Amino acid sequence: MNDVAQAQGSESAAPIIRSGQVPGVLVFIIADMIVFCMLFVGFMTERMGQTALFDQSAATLDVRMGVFNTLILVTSGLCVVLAVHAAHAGRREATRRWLLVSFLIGAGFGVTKLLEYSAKIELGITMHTNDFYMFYYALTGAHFLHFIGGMIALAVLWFMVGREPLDGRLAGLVESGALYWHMVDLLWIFIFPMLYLLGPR
Amino acid sequence: MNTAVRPIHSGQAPTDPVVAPDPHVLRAVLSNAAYFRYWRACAAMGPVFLAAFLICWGALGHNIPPIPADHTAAQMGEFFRTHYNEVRAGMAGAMLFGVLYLPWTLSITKVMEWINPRENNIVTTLQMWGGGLTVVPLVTSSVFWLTGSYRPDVLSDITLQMLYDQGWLLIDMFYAITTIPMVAIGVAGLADQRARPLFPRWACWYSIWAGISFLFELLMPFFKSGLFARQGWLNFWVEFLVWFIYILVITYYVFKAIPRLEQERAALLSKA
Amino acid sequence: MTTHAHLSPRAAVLVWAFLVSATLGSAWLAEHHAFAGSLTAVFVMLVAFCKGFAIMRYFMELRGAPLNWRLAFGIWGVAATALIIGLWVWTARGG
Repeated sequence: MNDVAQAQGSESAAPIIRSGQVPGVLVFIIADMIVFCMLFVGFMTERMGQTALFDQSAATLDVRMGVFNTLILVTSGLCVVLAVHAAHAGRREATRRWLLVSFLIGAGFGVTKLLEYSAKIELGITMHTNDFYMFYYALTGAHFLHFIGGMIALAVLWFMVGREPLDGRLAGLVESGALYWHMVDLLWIFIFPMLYLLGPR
Repeated sequence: MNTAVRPIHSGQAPTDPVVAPDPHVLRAVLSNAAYFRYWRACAAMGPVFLAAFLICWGALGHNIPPIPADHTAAQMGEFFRTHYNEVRAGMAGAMLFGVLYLPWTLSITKVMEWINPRENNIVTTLQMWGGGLTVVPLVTSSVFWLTGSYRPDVLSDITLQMLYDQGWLLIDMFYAITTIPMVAIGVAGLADQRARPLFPRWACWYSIWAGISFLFELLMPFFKSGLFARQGWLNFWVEFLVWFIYILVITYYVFKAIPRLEQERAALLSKA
Repeated sequence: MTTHAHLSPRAAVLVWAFLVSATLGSAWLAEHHAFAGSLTAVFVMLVAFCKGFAIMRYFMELRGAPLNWRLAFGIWGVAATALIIGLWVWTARGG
């Protein structure tokens, strides 16, 4: 996937991003981020027309869950940073360990998200309840799909590192997966305050 | 020129591996002129499709933007009774030019066959079928709008509304058949071993992203207004523009690839 | 070929500690409006920007990336934050 990674082979290489070539996954990531930014603007614009409703609805969201979710993702993010570090040093067991820890911590996000959704749904709050909740479900739902994709990537990488030689190419793949996972984290860093924290409580 | 010494694949560094495609791809019995005949014509069908679709489906068919989903049945009936001739013409054109997505897809498939002979042809085949089957939602959705315009004086407002809805539900919700070839092109393109890949990496990643980004259409059936409805800024403008740009980007690189492949193949044949 | 040092594990943990405290801090701020008053939302988004910046620069190691990419992501961070804050302020002023 990355010519430089192949050329470097099994040398313990500086991360691909250092050598002037960047992982192509950044194109995917920036495109996704641009669309999410458009959604942010859509939300804030809609909020302008229905501010009281939006603030009232936002106040029903559980800030503690949101904080907990953020902490889960940043911690999981730290773990993939350590996984990438280990991958570039060719340390297979350490890489797998950090990928696994990252996955397990990340799984917590899935659990809390499902708890949050079911709590809302039990109260009869769906994406049709009002425009705020439409954005709440759509934004967090789209983000959740990205989260699932990231979890799959982590799992696949964990398997690959277990089965294939940890050369420059595979280290590059771990780095690409990690970059995607950081995007999941980064998006939540903005989604959380925008949905949960903008109104008076 | 000593072709035995210079790199076989154009754009490859001297250390790049030299790998010829399988005989059934190489087809050594054909001259280069015969081998590449029709290929550029097929590739050109992409932009022709796009232009014709924009004119026929888009302008004449009143689909750019779609008539809002929160219009009443009475408004939909009025639309068909007023614009039936434009819609008939537009849809006749859309159903004709929609099939051009097939030869365009083939021109991409032919490039993909040459990307990396060390890979199997699963991804290439998925691209061919996915792109070919994309003709289905493009053409079939048009038949619903055509039906509405065929006898609008007799049909009820509700029926006319249903026909317009049905066309949009088909074209919007059948995205996954197009996601397959878009992701396939990206995945195959990323396996290119050339120093200068036939499909640049950014185009591969854009293709993959664009194919997956259609998933926002999952929300379309749930909304009659707002950004997620069929006329919404996201589910119409962003999604369709992303798809149109993809068509242009891939067409561009197919046209760039063909002369490079002509060189590669000529060198392979002269070496044999 | 440039050879910047990796983000060391120690530095990564420090960034993580910043992210955690910024998260807890801004959530506390949001629940105790009296502190920053009507500008709480602005503060909260500025903290989000800082967190995002840290993730992009350190976790994603964009500090070693070519200028185009640093610009692209940097602009995204500034734009997203500015747009959210700008629209919030505009709304608060009566839309």
